[in-house]
Amino acid sequence: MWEYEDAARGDNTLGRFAIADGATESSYSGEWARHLTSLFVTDPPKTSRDRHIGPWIRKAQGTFRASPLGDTAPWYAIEKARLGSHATFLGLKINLDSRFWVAWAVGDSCLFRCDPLASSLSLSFPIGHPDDFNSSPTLVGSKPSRNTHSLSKIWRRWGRAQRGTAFVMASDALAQWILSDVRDDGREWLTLLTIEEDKFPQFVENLRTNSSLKNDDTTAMIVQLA
Amino acid sequence: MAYSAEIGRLNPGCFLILIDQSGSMADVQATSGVQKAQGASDAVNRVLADLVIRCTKQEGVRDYFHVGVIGYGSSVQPALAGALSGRDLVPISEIADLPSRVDERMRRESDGAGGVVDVPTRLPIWLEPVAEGGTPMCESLKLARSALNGWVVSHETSFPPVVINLTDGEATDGDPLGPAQELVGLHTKDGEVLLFNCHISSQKAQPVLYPDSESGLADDYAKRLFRMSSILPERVRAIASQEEHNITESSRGFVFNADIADLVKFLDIGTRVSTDLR
Repeated sequence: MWEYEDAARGDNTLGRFAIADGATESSYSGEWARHLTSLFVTDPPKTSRDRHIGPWIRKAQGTFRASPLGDTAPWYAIEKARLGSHATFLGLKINLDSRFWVAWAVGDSCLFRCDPLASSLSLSFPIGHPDDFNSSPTLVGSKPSRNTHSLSKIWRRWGRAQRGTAFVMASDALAQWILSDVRDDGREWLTLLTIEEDKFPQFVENLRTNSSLKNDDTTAMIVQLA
Repeated sequence: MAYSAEIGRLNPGCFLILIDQSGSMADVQATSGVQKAQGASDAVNRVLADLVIRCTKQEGVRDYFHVGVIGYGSSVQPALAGALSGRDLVPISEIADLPSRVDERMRRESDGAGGVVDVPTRLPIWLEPVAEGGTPMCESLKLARSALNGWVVSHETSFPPVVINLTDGEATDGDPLGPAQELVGLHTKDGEVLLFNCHISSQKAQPVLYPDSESGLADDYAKRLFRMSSILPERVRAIASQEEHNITESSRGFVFNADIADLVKFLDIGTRVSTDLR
């Protein structure tokens, strides 16, 4: 049907998790999304308290190699490649001893925090309302010349989590659905906290069928603290 | 709800540009400093290139759109040059593969580190500037109707065609309101054909951008073009609101006294009927 251009990477022992949603209209956006999430897990931003991860983004740009074009590539392939690749990005680092966490976000992939036993959302970041999603989120670009806008739109949150806290990282369609369910006092979103990975595709398909979920690449990563 | 169809290869969208090629288009547009015909043809070539690039995926150009250009001046006919000459509606993949020529120019861009750099970019050309004869706008609207008549039948679930009329003056072959109304009488299941009009001024004049009523329009000519212009559907309105202030639910796809920059933005807004091409 269509290519899947989201990416998700996580490492439980290192406490590093990232999702990225490749922009459909850019070339190689799936590869760029995978590059961003891989780099975050293997070589994340060094300074937890630094909001400006511009240097880390430039490292990602410098190490990204999209598939090369041949010598006889048509004009539109050359121009498309010149524009570079684009994706939203959400990265979460957790110190497994102190449970201190920090997250950075560009665009509309969202981080939710669910406190233990409360069965409610205590954080929705960077978007807090289902009406605040639009068709033009800020994107991280693979070309420095096409990335100046996103460098001023990097959001950061941090805190110290309790034992049993669950973080949900979701791409935009699913994030919007979660916020809509919470707004309507629903509890269906809680299913995500315990759903098995192989049941997730059917869960998504059911939501799409009843038009609760937009027809878009859908990614969720659940991080449960012991 | 009308105007909600998603654009896809099975449900392509359609853009038909009508471009005034009358003698007065040889005049210079005062704000931009370029001939109106040159500025308008550059703008059309640019929006065609942008559409091709938006439709480009790793395996090639996907036919998300069918596109045509009709010129009206000393004659009324399809205006694409080169191998596409004489074609009225063309799949975007053929637009991509058959420009009349490809120029290369240097474009100044940010280098991402606070400086600028000159980058060679390729400028494909499909439309050449023409400026001779009168302004047979009525005939062009009738030719547009005949080009779209079959398309709406064979694409009945598609987002309706968008017709974008670029003109610098009054029609010389009658009152265009009637032919315009017949054109927008065509429809798919998703709604009626949309007609957006952009008037290009020679002078430096205050533009009227996407008005929602006639009350701010100075003369009968502007009011007629307003009446010929469709209300912006919601998804186009959302894009227009990012670019312009004072967009309301009744705002029409109409700009009066545009300079070339307004024209470029008008074409971009008018062709943003989908932001998610899968």
